[in-house]
Amino acid sequence: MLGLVLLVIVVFLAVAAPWISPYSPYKQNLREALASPSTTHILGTDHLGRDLFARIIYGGRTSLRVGFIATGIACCIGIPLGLISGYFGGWVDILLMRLVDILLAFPGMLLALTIMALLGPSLPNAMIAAGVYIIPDYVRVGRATTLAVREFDYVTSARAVGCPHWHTIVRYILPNVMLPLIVLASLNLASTILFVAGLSFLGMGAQPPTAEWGIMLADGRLYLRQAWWPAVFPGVALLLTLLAINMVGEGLRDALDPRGLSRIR
Amino acid sequence: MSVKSPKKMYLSVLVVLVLCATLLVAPVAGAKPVDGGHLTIAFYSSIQDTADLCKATAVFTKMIVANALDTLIAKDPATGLYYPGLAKAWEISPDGVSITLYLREDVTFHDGTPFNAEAVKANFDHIANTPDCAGKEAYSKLGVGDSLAGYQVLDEYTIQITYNQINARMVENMADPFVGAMHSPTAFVQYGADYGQEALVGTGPFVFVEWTGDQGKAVFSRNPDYNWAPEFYSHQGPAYLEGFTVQGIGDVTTRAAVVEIGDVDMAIVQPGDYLRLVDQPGFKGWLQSRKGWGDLSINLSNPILADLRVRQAIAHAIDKVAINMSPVFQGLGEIKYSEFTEGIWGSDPSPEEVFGPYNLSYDPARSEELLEAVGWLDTDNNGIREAHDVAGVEDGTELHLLNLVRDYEKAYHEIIQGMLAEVGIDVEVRVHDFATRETLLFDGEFDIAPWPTTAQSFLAFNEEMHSQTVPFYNIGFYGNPVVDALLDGALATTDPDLQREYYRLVAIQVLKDLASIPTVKANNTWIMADYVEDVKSDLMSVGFDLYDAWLDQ
Repeated sequence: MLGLVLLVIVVFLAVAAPWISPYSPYKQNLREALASPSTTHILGTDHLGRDLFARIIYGGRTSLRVGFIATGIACCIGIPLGLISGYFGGWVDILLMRLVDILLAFPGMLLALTIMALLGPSLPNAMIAAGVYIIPDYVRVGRATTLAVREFDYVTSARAVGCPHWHTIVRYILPNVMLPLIVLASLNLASTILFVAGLSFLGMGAQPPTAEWGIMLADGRLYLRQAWWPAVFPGVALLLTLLAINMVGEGLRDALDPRGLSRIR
Repeated sequence: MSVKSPKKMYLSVLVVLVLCATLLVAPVAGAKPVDGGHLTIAFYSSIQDTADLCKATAVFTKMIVANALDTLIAKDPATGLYYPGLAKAWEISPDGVSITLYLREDVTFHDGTPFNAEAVKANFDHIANTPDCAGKEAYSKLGVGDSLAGYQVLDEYTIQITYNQINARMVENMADPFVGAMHSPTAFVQYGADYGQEALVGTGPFVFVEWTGDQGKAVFSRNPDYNWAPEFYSHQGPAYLEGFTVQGIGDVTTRAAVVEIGDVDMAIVQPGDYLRLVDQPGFKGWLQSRKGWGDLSINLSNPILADLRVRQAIAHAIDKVAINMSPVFQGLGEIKYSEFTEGIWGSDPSPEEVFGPYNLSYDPARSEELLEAVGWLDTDNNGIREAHDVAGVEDGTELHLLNLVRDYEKAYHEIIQGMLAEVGIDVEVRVHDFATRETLLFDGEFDIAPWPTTAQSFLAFNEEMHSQTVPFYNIGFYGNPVVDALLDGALATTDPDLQREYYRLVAIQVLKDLASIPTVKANNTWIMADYVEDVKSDLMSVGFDLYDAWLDQ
């Protein structure tokens, strides 16, 4: 419940940012640089005089968008591959699982940095890198659940009456494997947000002047000894958001996936 | 109460006054350099690619290894004047095309190889004939394949270098570590292509010991035989320090942390940490004014930026005072009025007096007027102007500029990004590592970019503004026949006053053309333990000269 409440607050702030933010997140005012929290700027300002509260709630929009898109990329690629692998088996299964093994062999950040080096540093490319990193999760979960579901009688019957493979997969298998995948997606939402924030911290993700928590942490770190708020508040926002998403994800898993099929790593 | 003896009273007062004066003066007069101690320095990097300066591309390498090398002619970093170095005297021919160097006879390399004219010739041969040196700074400064006619050993301690034309840079180049610093010819033979990776053998006050990589350590020890320091140093004989270590730490906050906890004796930090630590017990600061030129370079091959009014709009949108007072500079930067800093131009008259009248003031309203006059309007109210009947630009194209920066320039250029956004110019600030950025700049894949260069004098300005050097160093594709003629004229004379006048006119023309926009120059902010004494600036005013340095411990 606490997680859900927190998440609702985060989402509300992110969605309502244009209406509730007192300042533009991009407007600089060097004369108010590193201003401490006050009634004028409730969370203070950063090194360029930008209002931190505005940047944090706009950063929430960025982070949630990042999480959904990266997770979406992984789902759109990983789930079909998992279903295909589990459904057909044989050399298709072997080939796909070896590809997954290759991806899993790379440390996540190394894989991401390799992708960024090829594509260039930017937020969209960071989302792609994060999505690619978690594709194996969906392939494995999709495969594991498909292996079980494909033996059910209704699937066998569908094949017996001549249903095309794609129709069988989409109509009969996919709906029955969605629950653990939904739980996995909810848990991955947090990890992709954190992953992209990490890339942004390293300068490989969001680029200035984007309001994004990772880049705000990196910028605030340089002035930590003079002003703690530009680094601390984005960090707290990130912490609370990840906590909320993880708590909701755990709750969903307890409710929808008691057998723990969504546990992969 | 009566005064018993006025004379005795006056005498007593006089004695007291003398004693007081002695106590005040004594601590200052009594501080004498002490032998010993090992200095540790946290710097941007240690030696980056190779210690062989002929092949090196990283400027930080030059700053570090210069402490192990001597140049043929010595230049006092403080005054810019030239002194005998490894050459005890030199003579320029009346026609200005050759320089004869009369070498010292008492110098040996760190490996015992005697220094003589054949050693100098071996060094020039190394620059001219080593494949990895071709096209790099030492190669072009020596004039290989260009203005250099040749070099001859006249006797054991005399060598003459001859050019095809008047060379105004002869003396400067012999004082430049890239060309004029001497390495042991024995070491060139012994180490071959690995010279610079496995060894560095010079004649300098410090001997190379070891190097563990870019973000590792470079360790040097004292040369006990050193006895040929140029006369502008405060002492002769071996260095006071037993040695020094440069620790490469790329992250600026980590450098501040290690000097604060005492892991290193001195570190280059950011302005905020400088101001925080400088007045703390146990520390002192050193504000090192960088020389050099160049600032916000403009890619004139971009049709958007080819219009002078757009460049003027950019200049009017930049508030230099606000930049300098921001947390990025903390007021410790130097507002620039031309391509030349005070360290290059001098202070009498100052760059502000000479070039200030040609600078465009901070005037965002004027900036917007200029952009609108060109045809850049924001009709869709998204905060970014788009083209309407702009010459060479398709209608509807948004006014978007790409700014390529290095990581330590990001914060500064975010400020410029914000200032240009106020007038409807959208700037993308993209961070790249040194090598990638240079490649992109030389390929012209940018719109604006910081292009500050450390330098010793005006003369190297030719590389950045002459049309013949496009795009290598003249990254902005700038070409003005008037400027070319002035730069050629400056190189055709050895009269320093005439050269200065040529460069004054060049700088003014560059300001009028806005090929480069002067903004704010960062100065190096060093924090050191209070027992570190007499560290001097190197020739490039970015590194350190440790010959006179000592530790008051």
